[in-house]
Amino acid sequence: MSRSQFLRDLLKFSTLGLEMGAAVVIGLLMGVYLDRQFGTRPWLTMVFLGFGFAAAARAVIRAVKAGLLMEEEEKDEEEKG
Amino acid sequence: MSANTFYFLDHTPLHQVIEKPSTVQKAGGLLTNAVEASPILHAGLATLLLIAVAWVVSRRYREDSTLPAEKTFSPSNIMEMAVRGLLLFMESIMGPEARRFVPLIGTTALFILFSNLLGSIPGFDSPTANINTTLACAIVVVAATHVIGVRAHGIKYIKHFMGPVWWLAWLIFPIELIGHIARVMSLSVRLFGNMFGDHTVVATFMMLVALGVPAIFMGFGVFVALIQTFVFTLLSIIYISGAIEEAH
Repeated sequence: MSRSQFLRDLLKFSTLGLEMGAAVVIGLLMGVYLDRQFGTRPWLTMVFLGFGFAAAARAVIRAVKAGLLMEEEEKDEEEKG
Repeated sequence: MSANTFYFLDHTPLHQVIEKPSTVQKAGGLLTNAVEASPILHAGLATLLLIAVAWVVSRRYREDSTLPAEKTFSPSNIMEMAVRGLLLFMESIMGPEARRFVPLIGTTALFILFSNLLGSIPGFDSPTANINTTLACAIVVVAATHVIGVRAHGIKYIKHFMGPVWWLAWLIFPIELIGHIARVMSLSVRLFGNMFGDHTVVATFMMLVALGVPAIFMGFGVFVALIQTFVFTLLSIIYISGAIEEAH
């Protein structure tokens, strides 16, 4: 892996932390807002907080999949070259 | 040390102009004070700078159509290098389709770069050190990814939000929705936080030791400005290529 490629991947995956946090916060805010609209406190807050956690987990899964794909491509290149 | 000593830190020349009551009235009373108006004015300044650069660069292409290779370090050479580098970088991620998205990605990248670096010039402010500017950029980019996705796939674009099997769609849809809103938030907050934090660090060190030491952190500031421009651009490219690829 070249140095610039390494730096690019480093930056790409370093963005994951903020995206996880943002997902949880967005889920929570949506839940609180919907609860205020429908007066169902605290149920929608809890449900949407769960969705937020799930969205965070999905971001991680997506990143891991992308990472595995990259690793495979690298192996292929090594075998060819 | 009195607060007046560092009056210059948050009172740039532009602030002094708009703090006159007559200018505030001219703006239709929308801008109530200098601090509120500062990011808007500085973003306008960055835009004007970009327009000026574009005008200077494009003048060369209008004058002669033969385009002999310039061997000097001219503005048009630098811009050509920048745009070419951006295109090659985009092609390495998106493939041959990258050329279509150069206008969007290039504009946001150059605007953010100019805005970030504007803050490193004494007497000026970074418009990107305000959440409104970065939020505007992030909303434009994320909205554009969905427009591009719909144009590439038509109505089938909704499959991107539905997950692998239809009976899980009701569960995946809100999760994807939250994920996409989180993209806007993480894009805008990352850029805003880095630029704002960088300026706060410089201002704090200027308060502690006014001579020499802040220069180190200003150097870091230039580094942060470049890195954050790169991260924003990279993420925009990744989001767009995610929208045009087939749903799994």
